Amino acid sequence: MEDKKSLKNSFFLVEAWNKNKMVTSFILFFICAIAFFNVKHIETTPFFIWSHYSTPHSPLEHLDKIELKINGKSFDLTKLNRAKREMIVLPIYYFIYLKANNFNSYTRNFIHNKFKDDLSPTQLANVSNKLSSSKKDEPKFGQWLKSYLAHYYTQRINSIEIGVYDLKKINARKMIHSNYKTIKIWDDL
Amino acid sequence: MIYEFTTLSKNTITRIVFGWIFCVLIYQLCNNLMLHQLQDPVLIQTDLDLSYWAVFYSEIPAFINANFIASISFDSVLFLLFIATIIFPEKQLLRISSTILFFLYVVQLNTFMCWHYHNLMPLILILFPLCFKNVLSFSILFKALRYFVLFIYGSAAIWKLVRGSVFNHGQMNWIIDSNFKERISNTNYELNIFEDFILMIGNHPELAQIILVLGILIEFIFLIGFFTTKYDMFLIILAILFHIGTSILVDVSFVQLWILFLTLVPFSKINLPRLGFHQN
Repeated sequence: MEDKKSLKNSFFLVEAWNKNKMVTSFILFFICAIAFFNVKHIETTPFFIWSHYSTPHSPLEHLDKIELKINGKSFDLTKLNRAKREMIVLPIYYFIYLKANNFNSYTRNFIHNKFKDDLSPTQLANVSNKLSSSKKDEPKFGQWLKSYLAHYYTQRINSIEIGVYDLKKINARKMIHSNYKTIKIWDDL
Repeated sequence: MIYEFTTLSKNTITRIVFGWIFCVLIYQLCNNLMLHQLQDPVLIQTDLDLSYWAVFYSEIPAFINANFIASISFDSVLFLLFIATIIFPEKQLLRISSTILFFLYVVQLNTFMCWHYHNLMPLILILFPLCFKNVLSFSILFKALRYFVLFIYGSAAIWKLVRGSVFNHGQMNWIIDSNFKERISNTNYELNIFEDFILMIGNHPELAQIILVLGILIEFIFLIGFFTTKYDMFLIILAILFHIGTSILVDVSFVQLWILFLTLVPFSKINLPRLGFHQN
């Protein structure tokens, strides 16, 4: 009986509860919230979801690659380390996604669908513009790229082009570019 | 058993954690990732994260990024607060202010990067217990964080099992292809020895699949920590080896988060009285 009681008291949550009920209640709330957001598969910081690489993919899936041209010449992004590269590549990918969806991002659509009955059109526009990018950001994005790329490109930038190549796998060590599609050119920078 | 820290040992932990994150911030600075270096980004991606929504709805980011003076002031205060906390770990106000500013920094960086990376934000979880003045509350939360670290790996394995990527033939080849596509499609790029090795694995789908299953098995092993603390040092070594592996395989090391392994250190077996640790 004594052994059972001592075993029970050695459980972290029981021991924590005996020492500080307030802090333990917070931990219990955190556990419930983590479980809730994991079941819903929606992440809200700090209730993280660690599902990287859990979606099944086939090696035959289509792959593409971003092309960034500065003053008409291709800019080699592989020269930058991952941390530097991603601050350029990820916003470009997101820009391509936004453009393809006429700037109706997942976030914007969610806000409109969820709050359309509760907010006036002006309030709805105000909220979605604070929380997501809009069509008016399209020309500004080129200006931002120009400013940020100045960290890595020392000459004057007059034009920027972004596009996408389809990639064709030749073997495990080689891929070649196939079709090229221009996404946007800013030539008045 | 919950290891009860003393004020001195808590101060030591504070110095180690804030020192580590300060180094992370220096790395961010060297890679042009501090707010004053971002040049007031245009696109924002808050996703459906309510914490990010709260920050951006408050318009704090608009205020900070509106001009260079504001953003460089924010970054400078962030650095100074971390330095001050390392010097004066007992000052609660410094610890809380540093944590809030660090949180605001990461929310903005991830939003402007248009990707909610997990390489910095989980550091909030180790900063949070340090914000408490009460040493017992800190000790309990620090121990709880140990379980959260185990949950990170365990849940990562469970997600892969539930969604079926573990036994999905060709999954590892897709991972390699999608991570190496920029490099192997660039004729001017010269592969280093590790990259060459990984692409060799990509040539042998069965071997690639075995490596994936082994990786997920390693993640599963962390669940053992929910039942015993006996293997905690082994788990730290395993985690570091795992991340060295992922760093070579997919160029993601999450090295910034390695400080979370501090929660797995068996402090009850450490005898360093000058730093406040006494062997039980």
